[in-house]
Parts: sequence; C-alpha cells; structure tokens
Amino acid sequence: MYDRLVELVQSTPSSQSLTGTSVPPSPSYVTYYLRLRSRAPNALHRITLLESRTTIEQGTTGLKTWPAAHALAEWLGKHPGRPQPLCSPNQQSDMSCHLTERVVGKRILELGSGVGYLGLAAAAIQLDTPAEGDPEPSIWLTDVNSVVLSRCRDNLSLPCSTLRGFLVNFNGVTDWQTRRTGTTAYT
Amino acid sequence: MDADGISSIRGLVSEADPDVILGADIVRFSFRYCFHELRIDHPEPGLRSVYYSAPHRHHPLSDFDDGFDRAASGFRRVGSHGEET
Repeated sequence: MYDRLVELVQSTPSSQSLTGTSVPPSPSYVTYYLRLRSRAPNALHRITLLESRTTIEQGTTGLKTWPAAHALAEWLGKHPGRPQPLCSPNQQSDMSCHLTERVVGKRILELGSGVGYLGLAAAAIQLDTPAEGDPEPSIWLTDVNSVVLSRCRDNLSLPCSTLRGFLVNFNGVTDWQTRRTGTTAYT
Repeated sequence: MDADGISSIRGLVSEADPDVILGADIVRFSFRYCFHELRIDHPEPGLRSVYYSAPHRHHPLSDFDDGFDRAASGFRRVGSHGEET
C-alpha cells in the first residue's frame, strides 16, 4: 500500500517548468526551534536541516520532517527526566520509579530517524541537562533508505549545527537492512 | 513490516542495547508491530522504554491497545508500562 501511495503521489505534478515538464521544488535548509525545559523561557534550541519540500522525493517520505517528530521532540523537551539512582531493583515494578526516566543519561535508539530532527533534538536534550556520572550521550540513528541515511549524516555535520562544540557520540547511522554501522563523534 | 524486518530490528536493538527506543510516525512505517514485539520481548519489562508518536488521532492502532495508552492530544507516547501520556 505504501509503495502504491508513493507511486500515486509521484505521478502528480507539483509544479511546471518553462518547458512544461514537472519539476519538484529543490530541498531547502529549514531551521526549527525547540524549547528545552532547563533554558530560559525565551531561549530556544535551534536545529537546522536540509530537507525535502515535497511529500515524497526519490521514492521516499523520509527526506522531510513530519509532524509526529515535532510532537515527540516537543514532549521530550518538556519532560527530559532524570535517571533515578535510588531506584532499586525492588522498585523496578513501581510505576513512580519510571515516570522520571526519559532520555537524559540514556542510550537511545531511534527507529526511522529520517533526516535527523528527532535524533538531534534528543541529543540536545541530553546535553541540556547533563549531570555528573551520566554516561556519555549515545544515540543510534537508523533508517531503511540509503538516500535518507546520507542526508541524515550530512545534516548532523552542518556547520550551523548547534551540537558542534559538544562531545556527542552518535553511535552510528545504521541501515537495518544491511546493518552498516559507523560511529561518529561530533566535536 | 515483514518478519525479516522485525528480525533485523530485533538484532539491531540487541546490538545497540538501548535504554530508550524512539519512533515518530510509526504507523506510516508499520513500526507499531515491531514496537509491540520489542516491548514484550524485553527480558526485564520496565528497563527499556519506548516512546513513539503518531500524527493523527484516529490511526487504527486498536490491534494492540492492551497496555498502551492514548494521549488526548492525538498521538501516543508510551513507556514500557504504557504509562506515558
């Protein structure tokens, strides 16, 4: 069904060039602003990505940031949580023991990372509320499409990335079909 | 997502051993099945959290509503106990 949807959408002209042929809009740099809990009310974290301006490009929907990623990033930003060092094994079944656990100090794996927005947001949240004793921030970003993976890698390395200057160890952008794994430290 | 896809993701999760799994727009990618699988497969439920979101209120997710929560805002965010709202 997904393949059929891609086929149908791609067959719909999005714009016309001077020669009358269909020309999709070119990818654009888009900057998103994410409010993090620990920052001043008017201080926003900035995430810039190169992404598609069409629903489907090169046969994939993964080249743009979708509303669900914004929703989850916004929620995580408001509820970054803290690890609970006093959460004993006997308390593991206690619901309150887990309510504060989110992404801070956690090893994170994102399935379907697309062009990288949610992963970058999660990394920013981790870096925004560090604490002594936290493990090194770790994020695995994954996607199934090689074009999407390439765009994600490029976005993580943009000069305007506000994560530059931090020691962030993205433990790899992995294609779960071929299991390519690489580790990159963005410093 | 077919069985090979789920198996591959299981292997990936095993390798990464994450504390948290994130997934946005999982309905579109049929991640809902593997999320469900991952949740029940974890040997120590509660030690690995899964947060995911879907963009619309009425996605047909009722096939695994057991233990999962529905957020009033139209997407779901769940922990391994289904406690996140």
